[in-house]
Amino acid sequence: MVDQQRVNAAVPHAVGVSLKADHYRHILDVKPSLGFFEVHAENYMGAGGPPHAYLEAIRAHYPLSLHGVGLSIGGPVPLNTKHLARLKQVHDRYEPGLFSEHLAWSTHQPAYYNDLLPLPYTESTLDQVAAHIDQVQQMLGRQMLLENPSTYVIFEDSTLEETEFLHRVVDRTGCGLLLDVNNVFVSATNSGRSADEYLAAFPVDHVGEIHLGGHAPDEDEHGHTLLIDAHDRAVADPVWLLFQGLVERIGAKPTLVEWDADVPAWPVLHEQAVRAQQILDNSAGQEVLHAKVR
Amino acid sequence: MSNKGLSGAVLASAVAAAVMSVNAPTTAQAQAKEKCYGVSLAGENDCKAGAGTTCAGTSTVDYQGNAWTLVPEGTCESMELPDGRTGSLTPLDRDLPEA
Amino acid sequence: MQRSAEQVLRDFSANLTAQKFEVPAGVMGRNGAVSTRRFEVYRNNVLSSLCDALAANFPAIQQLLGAAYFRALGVEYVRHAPPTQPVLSEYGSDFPAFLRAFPPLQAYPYLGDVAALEWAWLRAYHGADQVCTALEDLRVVEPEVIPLVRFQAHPTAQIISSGYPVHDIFRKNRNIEGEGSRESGPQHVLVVRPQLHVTTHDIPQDKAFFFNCLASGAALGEAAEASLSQFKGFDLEQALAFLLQVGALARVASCPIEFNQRATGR
Repeated sequence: MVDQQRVNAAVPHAVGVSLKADHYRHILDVKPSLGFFEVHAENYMGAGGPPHAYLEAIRAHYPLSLHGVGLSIGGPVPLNTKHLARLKQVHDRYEPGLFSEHLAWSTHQPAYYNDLLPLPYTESTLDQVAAHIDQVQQMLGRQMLLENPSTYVIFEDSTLEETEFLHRVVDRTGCGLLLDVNNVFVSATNSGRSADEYLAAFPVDHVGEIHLGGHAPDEDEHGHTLLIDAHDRAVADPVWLLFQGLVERIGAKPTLVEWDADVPAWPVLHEQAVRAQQILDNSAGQEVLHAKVR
Repeated sequence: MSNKGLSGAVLASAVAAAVMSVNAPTTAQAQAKEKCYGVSLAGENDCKAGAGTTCAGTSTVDYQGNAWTLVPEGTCESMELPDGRTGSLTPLDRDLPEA
Repeated sequence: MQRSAEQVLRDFSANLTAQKFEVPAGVMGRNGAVSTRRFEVYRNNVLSSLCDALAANFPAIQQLLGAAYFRALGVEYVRHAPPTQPVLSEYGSDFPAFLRAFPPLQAYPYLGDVAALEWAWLRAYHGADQVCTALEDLRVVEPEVIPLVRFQAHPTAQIISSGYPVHDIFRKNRNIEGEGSRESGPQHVLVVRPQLHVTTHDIPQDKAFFFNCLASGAALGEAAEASLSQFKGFDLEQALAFLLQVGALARVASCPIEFNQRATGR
């Protein structure tokens, strides 16, 4: 199934959704009008089989955003070069318009934890993150986007604000940023701070993609609200508001609606994409190129 | 090759007959058009926070030494095994911890 | 600060999966308060997402043991053998061995073999794609060199042999419809994904033996001789037709000059 001609790789300033296996068949049957699909790179690192067959078929019709979850860019240990090589293989095979990874870590070798774990923001972690991003960008031969994390704890040892840390990473590496608005709201709420202030300080000129997703409310043992970045439901109203304000400020950007757990039937996910697209369309920027969601 | 009752000619004719009897398999394209068989059966990476504060992952049952307070409660208790035995090969109470 | 970031993360890491843990020094909740619950979010995510991945990779084992038991067992396994690379569909290679050695499950000795079959299924699912040309290749081999033909097995083909009716247990606990086995003794299961669907075939021991001979590089004549001498009723024609039909043999890998000359269109 590698015979098809592909649409152009460039991801438009429009809305896309996470590609889930449950929806493969429907997407190929219906070819819904969407800007792009985003996939987790680690799910396509096998040699062959159905995942590749479906992704090849879908890539023929849609641009792709490749989103890594396993590089552990924020960790203190050297990047796993074998994993980086596998990432490059997936990258080169599918020619994604965007590639992004997280400001987080997931291994303290040899164990991999399959979670996006937080790091203190210091001069030394800045050095490590910048070196890791240089290595990734060199390996892939392209700019990557770095995503702001959702966090549940704060490090006493942090000497830099997250926004300042991201700013300096961008300055040092030339990478772009993936601004996850749900993560902004989750982290701000969890740390008792203002999401608006965070966004005001965010280096928005470097945003190459926006993420939206759902979170689950909970609370800690001190009675403080604790939001969990569960991606298991619709985008929350305050996150829609933050997104709207952001789009009015910076114009339309490639925007992803994420839904990873309790994945709903396609129409429910698509409805979220339509809502996001309307916000992009109504923005002052009006930079929507093509492939609008209808 | 040695010729212990299997001549090259016999072998060649068996192979020819085998080749003749095989039907053309369905193509990958035809299979892709079928229902998404098994696409969700394998573990997938994602970037969600799954369990949150629920203790789904932190089992209160801990295995230390040979103390294990759980017994299987799935279909293994009703599996039919060779020799007509049903269920586990030995009584389940063997899995209970020593008091 | 006296702590290095590296120390903080090492401490964080050390408390993620251990049964007994404490909130790492320097990790705070809101307003600087120490919050066990917040740190537990990470612990829960790590353990439960890895257990979920294990359950997705070994669904029949989960059905056999029940979800509650499987989860508790999964936590033990994660502590015993955490992933050493990030791809979840590749997590659990040691799970069959872990099940075989886990003392509380000694009464269920077939579990390890069922898990080995599930692992073979998973490897076939994600394995390399290859279009089988063995049939076409054979058609152009001169009859006199047929005994010298060697095959390349399909990259996803593998045989799991068990003293238990492992294929029946696997199918029943993956809720796969279809008739049961011919017998309830040992079973040999050929796993292969010739195109998009992983297929499993319960095959007699002589066919399994014949395939393993060919897959390990024996020439057709040698494999046939060995199979005949081991198994009286071995039917070469039928065995070869079966392996070709199910796509277990990908192509003719080597053959004396006659074949090569034809293949290159001399």
